[in-house]
Amino acid sequence: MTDAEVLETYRATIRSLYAYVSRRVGGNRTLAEDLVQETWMRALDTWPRRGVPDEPIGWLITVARNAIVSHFRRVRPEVDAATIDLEAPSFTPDDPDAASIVSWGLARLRRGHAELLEAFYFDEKSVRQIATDRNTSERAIEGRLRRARAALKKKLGRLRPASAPRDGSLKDTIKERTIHVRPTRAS
Amino acid sequence: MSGPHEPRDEFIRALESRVGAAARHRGPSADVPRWIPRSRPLLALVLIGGVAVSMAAGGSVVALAYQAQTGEARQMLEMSYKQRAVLARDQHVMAMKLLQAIQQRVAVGAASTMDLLDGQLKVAAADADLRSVELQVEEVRLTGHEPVTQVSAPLVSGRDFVSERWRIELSVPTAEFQAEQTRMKHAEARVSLGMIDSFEIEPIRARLKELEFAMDGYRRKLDFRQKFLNKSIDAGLADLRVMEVEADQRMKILMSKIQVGLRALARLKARVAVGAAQSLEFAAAELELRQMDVEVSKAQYDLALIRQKIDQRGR
Repeated sequence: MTDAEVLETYRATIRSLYAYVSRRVGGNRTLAEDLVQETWMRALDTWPRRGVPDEPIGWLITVARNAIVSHFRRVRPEVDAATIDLEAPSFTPDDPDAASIVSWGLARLRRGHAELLEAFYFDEKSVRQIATDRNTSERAIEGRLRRARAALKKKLGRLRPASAPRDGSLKDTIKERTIHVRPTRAS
Repeated sequence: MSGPHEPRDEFIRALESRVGAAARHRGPSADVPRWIPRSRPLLALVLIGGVAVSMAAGGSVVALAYQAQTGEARQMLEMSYKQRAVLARDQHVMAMKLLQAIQQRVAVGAASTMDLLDGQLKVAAADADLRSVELQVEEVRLTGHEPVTQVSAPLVSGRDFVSERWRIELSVPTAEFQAEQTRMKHAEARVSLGMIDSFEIEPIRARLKELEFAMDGYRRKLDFRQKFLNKSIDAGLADLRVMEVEADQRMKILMSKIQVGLRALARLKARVAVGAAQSLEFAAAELELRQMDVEVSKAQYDLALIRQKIDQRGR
């Protein structure tokens, strides 16, 4: 592994890797930059011993995903999960608060569910695209999504901000916040 | 940066530099077993590497500061040469206006053709000055340094500023030489008509000689510059050769002046003898001549010294 090889890989992958991480943290730049940097530092620990993988971006994304999961297992969002409505067809976690809630929940789901919800919420793939990617029917994906969403909601039910007062005043305040919405994606 | 999920350019650059540094630092351990990093030699190497990286970082900070400083100095230098160019342009415009005024006066018989020659010479000198300053501005812009006048100066972006400058400077004595030749013909015609004394031609003749030496000096310098660029002679010898040309030129001009001075002294002596001039005038002329004689001796010594150095290099 030469310096030039590493830098070439870095330049070729940095934007995709950052976009992947940034979407999962709702565009929180500080957090996204920390996680991307952490991912690259892990790559530099591993690659000299094992060589640059055949698909560096795939490797980096896997490591970044683990870093995100690890982060959200450690860090509890300071917002109430009740501020988001996963069932709303227009819901997209594209602000830091909403993204941190969803990512916190995904970090506690089993991998299959988490990957499906990630593809739907963060990669903004339609049901049809996910079905095509996984070589299965849209109907099957809709069913899995429903179950994954239910599992996520269950996990999010446990999420109450550490600093949230018991009278729910913070919850009410947060509810007033505008959650960014996008037009419903066609399935 | 075009979207919320696009990384900042500063972040990309900063991380790239960290990745590059880390890759360089960790690269050699590619095929090394894991226990080696704990070994003392590698630990020492890592420490040395750390010191080197730290020194490089310090060095780059100093280099950046120096770069900022030199950037500022470069701007100031460029500005000062641009101001000189503005002044040179103004002087050129003034010389042109003066020439036009003389031409008008010559047309109505209020000025002589000699006045016209003076006007033309002023325009030629102002033009050369302007072109020379513009050349200096260009050189400063390209190099960020004061223009270099040495024969052994390197080319700048493929341009030979030294030769260009000398050619511009050569245009001044060339124009003056032509003007003096016209003046000489005019004076000779007046001598033949008995309107002036033949002695009055002497200063023109001396000036012609001086200009000839000056033109010859520039041509020889240009020749050595070409030899240097063709690598026929090295930088040291080229510098010595140009010094030789300049010393030789200085000596020839002084010798020519002494010749004129001697004739003037003889004439003055004759005038003193008939009471047409004061002995004090004669003494002053004699003193001036002796001073020139001392200068010639000095120029001869310089020339001998330079030639000795050239001979030493040849051995």
